[in-house]
Amino acid sequence: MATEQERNKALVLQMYEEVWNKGNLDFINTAVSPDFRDHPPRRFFDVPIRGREALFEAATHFRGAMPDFHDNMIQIVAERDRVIYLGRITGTQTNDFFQFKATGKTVSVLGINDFRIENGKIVERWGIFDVMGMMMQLGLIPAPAHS
Amino acid sequence: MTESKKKQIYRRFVEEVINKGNIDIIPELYHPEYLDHSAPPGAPHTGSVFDQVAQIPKMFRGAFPDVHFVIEDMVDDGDWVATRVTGYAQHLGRPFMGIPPSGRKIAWSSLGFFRVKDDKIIEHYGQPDLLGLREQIAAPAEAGSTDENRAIVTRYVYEVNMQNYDAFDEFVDPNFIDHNPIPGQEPGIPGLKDAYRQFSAGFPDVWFTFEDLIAEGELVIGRGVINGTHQGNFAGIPATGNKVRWTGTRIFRVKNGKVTEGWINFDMISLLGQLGMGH
Repeated sequence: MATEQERNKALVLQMYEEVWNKGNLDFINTAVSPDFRDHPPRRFFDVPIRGREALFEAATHFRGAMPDFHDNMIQIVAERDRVIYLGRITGTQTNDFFQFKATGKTVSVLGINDFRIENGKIVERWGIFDVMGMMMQLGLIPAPAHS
Repeated sequence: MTESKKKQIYRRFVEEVINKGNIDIIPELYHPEYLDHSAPPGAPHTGSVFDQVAQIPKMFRGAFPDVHFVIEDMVDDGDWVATRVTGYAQHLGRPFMGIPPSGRKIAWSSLGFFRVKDDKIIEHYGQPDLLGLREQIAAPAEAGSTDENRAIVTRYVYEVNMQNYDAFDEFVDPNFIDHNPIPGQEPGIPGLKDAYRQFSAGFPDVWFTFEDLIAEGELVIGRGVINGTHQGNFAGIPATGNKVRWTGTRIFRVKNGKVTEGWINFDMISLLGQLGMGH
């Protein structure tokens, strides 16, 4: 008999595999609550932060720009109603990405997401991926001239 | 309910090392075989593991002297504790990510994974919202706004700390009025530069750290701490080699992007006492 935490981890892992890695966006309806609330970091694009559209639009844009998009899990932990996921995002930007033209460049950046799960659905997310690292690797902003 | 040991270790790191700058306790919290998968760009790879860990609070507290992390979430599972914090700070110290001290009050999120072995942190992955942080300190300030005035005063004090007095010509008004001149101080920028040179001759490593900075209208008011080593003549007292620390309050008037007036009050009694006077 799996514990609630084990079931919550399995839900998050399945969501990454189906939605982000395979592009099966319908799975958002299974895994995510219609009342989903996102708490994103500062980012260079504007997608909704309420409801399933938040993940639907983000996944559409990322996978559209990087058809080989893949999130590789490094670690996952769960306690209470939370699951925190650490992964490395990889992909090749062969198509336009929001306002940016296709670069053909490959990215590899870390991301960490803190999910709240209620009644077997993802209801909230506090996530940060390395937006700046991604923009630098795509050549969209210069790498810092560090002292 | 008592917190788990792993959460207690992380909480101690935040409350002591980040929020108070107490880097001496790092060896109590970190394993000698610590591996950081997310060392900031430019972080040194030399020195002990503990020296490398100390770079993080040093870098943050150097740029943001009042930096304060609030723990929003901790998840303890197996060997790992994953954490989410909000950082609050005012950019009153050194440049950060290439942005000169801006005086901006900012808040940003950060998530981390920490593996704990033998009650010590041995491995770490972190993801701060650096883009959000950078955008907040780099946001352009409207001409004549309190944001701009605060940035000018923060820059003024930073250039004084760097003893780069030639930069004054960029942001100090030629008719600058010093309301607390040293004896015989000449008017305007030349007198101001000379006063600071005399001061830094007594304390070559002198550093003023703002702990608070408030702007309203043309006025900018700051409270801070001055640290230095008495290695030269100061007010007729020959070098004692004493490390000294005293407090000061400063007020500036800023008009049209230039500092036009300055007032300073500092705890001269404490300073002279630390130099062995009055005993």
